[in-house]
Parts: sequence; structure tokens; C-alpha cells
Amino acid sequence: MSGLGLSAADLTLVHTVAARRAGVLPGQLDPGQLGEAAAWPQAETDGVARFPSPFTRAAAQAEAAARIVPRAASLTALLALVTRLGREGYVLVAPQGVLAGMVAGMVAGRIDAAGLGRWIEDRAVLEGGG
Amino acid sequence: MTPEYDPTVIRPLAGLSASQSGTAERLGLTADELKEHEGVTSEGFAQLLGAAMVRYDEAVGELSLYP
Repeated sequence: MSGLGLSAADLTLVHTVAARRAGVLPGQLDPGQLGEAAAWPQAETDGVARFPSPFTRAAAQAEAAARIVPRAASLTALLALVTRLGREGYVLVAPQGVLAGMVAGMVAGRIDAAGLGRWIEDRAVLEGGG
Repeated sequence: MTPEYDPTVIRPLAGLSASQSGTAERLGLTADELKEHEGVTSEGFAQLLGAAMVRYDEAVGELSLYP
């Protein structure tokens, strides 16, 4: 795993916090699925990274996290996205209502991860870089 | 002698540093829960997540209502 990635334990904490904040019980997460979701942004096809930028990796992390949790999926996806992006040194500069809508749209299937990645790329800045 | 109570002074949760205590509060976790997670998560992740809860608080609040 890339040192910039999230681990299965990190994703478990993300979901625990998301569920608590949403006022629901966290779901029982499958360890195998957790490991796959944590590794997904680093996936390769024929030795080529499927998600070559920090922005596509953040979107892929959000999508993978949302797919494996039984509840609080949108909030889990948001927190997975922004922590993954943060690990890579970026923050999002965007209206937060729009950010929430983009993540909810992806979880609902209205926006694909590639589209979310492009949206992130246009709105991410290096932390401390202005 | 009992020190006078000062509501402006934030005291850390028992067993946590001031920094950890702030992280636990931001994440909505007890001291024991934070310590349990910190024992297995990658280094600094709980602090990163806590900072994200603050930075993106409006988005978090919105998706808390429609999680």
C-alpha cells in the first residue's frame, strides 16, 4: 500500500465516526472487503495505475468506502475522500453544500467516480499553498 | 485546597493529552475508544480525520442529516 493511502483500520474509524455523527449504529464491516476497499485506489491494470492522480485516488477511495458500508454511506464516503486527499497534501476549496451534493450523487449512482475525480481536480489545492 | 473552577479552561479527558482530547471530541469518541482506534490506525490518521471534521463541518453536517 502507498504510504499515502488509508488502511483497513483507517476506514473502520471513518465509518465509526460517520455512523456516530449520523446517529446510526456502525455496520459490521467485512475484513476482506475493508482490505479491498483500502487497496482499491492503488489498483493497477497491467502494471499501470488505474487511478493515476491524487484526485482520482480520492474519488476511488470514496466510492470503494461507500460500497462496503451498510449505512451512513454518504458521510463515510465524504470522510474517506477528504482524508485520502489530505494524506496526499490537498484540501478542497469548494462550497461545502456542493461537495456534499457531489458525494451524495456519487453514492446514489448519479455521478461516477471518474466524474467526481475531475470535479475534485478543479477544486483541490495543496494545503498551505494558497 | 480545591482549585477554583474556571469554565474557560479546557481540561483533557482522563488519560489523554490535550491534543488527543481535542481529537476525541471532534470525532465523537470517548478516550478509551480513541485509544483503541489509535492502536490500529495508521500514524496520525485520527488527527487527520479530526481536522477534516472541522474543515468540512458544513458538508459533514449536511450528510449527517442525509447520511
